[in-house]
Amino acid sequence: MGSNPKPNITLYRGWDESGRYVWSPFVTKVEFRLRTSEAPYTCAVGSTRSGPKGKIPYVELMTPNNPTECLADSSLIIKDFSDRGLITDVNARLSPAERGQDLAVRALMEDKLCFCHTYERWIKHYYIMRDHALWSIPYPMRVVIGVLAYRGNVRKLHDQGTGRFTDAEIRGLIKEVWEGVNGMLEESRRRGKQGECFWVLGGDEPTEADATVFGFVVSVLVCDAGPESRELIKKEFPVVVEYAELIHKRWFPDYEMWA
Amino acid sequence: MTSENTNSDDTPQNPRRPQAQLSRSIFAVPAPIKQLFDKFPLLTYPTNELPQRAPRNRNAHVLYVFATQGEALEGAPSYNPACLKWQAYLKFSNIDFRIACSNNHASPSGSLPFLLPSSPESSKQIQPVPSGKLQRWSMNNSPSAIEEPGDLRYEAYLSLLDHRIRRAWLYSIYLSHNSTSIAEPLYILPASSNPFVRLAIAHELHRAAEKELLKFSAVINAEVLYAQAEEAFAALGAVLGEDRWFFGASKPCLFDASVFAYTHLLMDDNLGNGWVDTRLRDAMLSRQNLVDHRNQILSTYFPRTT
Repeated sequence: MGSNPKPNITLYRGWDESGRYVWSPFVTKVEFRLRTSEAPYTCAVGSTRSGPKGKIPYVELMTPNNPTECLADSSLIIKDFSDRGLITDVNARLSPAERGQDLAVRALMEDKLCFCHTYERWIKHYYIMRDHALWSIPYPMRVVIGVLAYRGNVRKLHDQGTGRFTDAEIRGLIKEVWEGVNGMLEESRRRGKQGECFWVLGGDEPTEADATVFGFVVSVLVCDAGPESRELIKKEFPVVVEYAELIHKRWFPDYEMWA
Repeated sequence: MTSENTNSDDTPQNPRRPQAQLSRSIFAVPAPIKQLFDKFPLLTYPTNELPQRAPRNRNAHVLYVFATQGEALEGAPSYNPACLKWQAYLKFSNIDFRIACSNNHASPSGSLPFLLPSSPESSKQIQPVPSGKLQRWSMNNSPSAIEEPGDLRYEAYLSLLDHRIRRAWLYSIYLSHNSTSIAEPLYILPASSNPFVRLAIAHELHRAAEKELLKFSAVINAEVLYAQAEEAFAALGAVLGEDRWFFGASKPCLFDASVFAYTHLLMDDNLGNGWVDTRLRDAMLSRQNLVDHRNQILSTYFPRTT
């Protein structure tokens, strides 16, 4: 492994926003893992149409004298990078119980909260989301593609189940998720030192769950299409915001911070 | 039009105008006809008896689930995880109920289970309780309501069940080789005796499972789904540890019912015509404490099945 030259990593983030966080939690999740492992990478725009799985983010690995490799899906990218030794396997030192808890937190955010966010952004604040997500598509076409995306999301949310809840019920679900995460972070903050980063599982180092939680917190704080969620965590869960601020100061000082 | 109408103002202070307008409207019923119709009904008959096939015994709550007739009579665990979860939860809550076999078309919400509460008056219309409201209903109606543990990790672990394990279950039952040995005898053959209808149902079930899985991933990869479920079972096994119930609770709660709904069915050798693709089942069986947890619930709350 050590004799192989390290590939150049290009991360496609979907938006032309250098020096800023993007709205996708999954992009920030990958960036968090790369930065906390001190793995150098270059940001590029890309789009869902040019990505291998029709998803953002995706990465390109360029090694001299080898064909370029393309990987998609944040979890698969992290797993692959971890297997190749490009980033630290942060969960290797965890006990089975901690590993289980780490997985549960990730499932909570990626499998449950994600759909609630889709509802909030694509259904409740459709026009803001459409213009931001489909920024690369010129205006008349954007209206047509936007309507198709809207219909697709309504159908997907209805089939998945989130779309069958009322607005108030979905807000309740979102609050429940953040209450759980906030509780874990509060506990960890109490045990840590003042002004230093604290982590979801309460250890000294971040785990995979931190990458996901940080990705989702930042996504909520920077996304204009989810004002209710932003209001919620800013007003009711200051520890969650503090958690993200401390990580931002340590690992993302070159990025513009949320307002 | 009268001069009164044309000359008067339209303000509400003039009460004479609407009355005059009403009495002269072409839609107004003439007084003699109105008096005649006011005499009806001349006689009100007593309420008809319910048809022979209507349930007579309304003094017990009935939970409608996927089950065979024989299983329903015995109160055996349902073969559907969503139904079994609520069946177990109602038992944990000490609610006296019986189960009846049904299908999604019979449910007011479009999916099973739903509960028809007991009613002392058989003629009185009773609102069914869909699964989404069963927890609240049982808290209000149970002699010993269950408090869910206030553990911060509760929601997180619940999403492992609701997503990762559920996705692997859907693949295993509807898309793997188990579709002919389990899904077909349980969901397709009882629905109709017509081969074309059966074919259509089989196709629909297959498509629905595929669609559900494609919401989470662009491709359906069995290895990934089973690996994720295995990780999830490991996480559940780790959080249960040596405890009797999840999150150190003193009695089983909804989370225990949700886990049991999958673990019991995975451990059931005779589910449908038996397991052909055993990967998900093997992943679960390797967690001894989950096996013990299932056995404990089965022997305590479903003694007839053991």
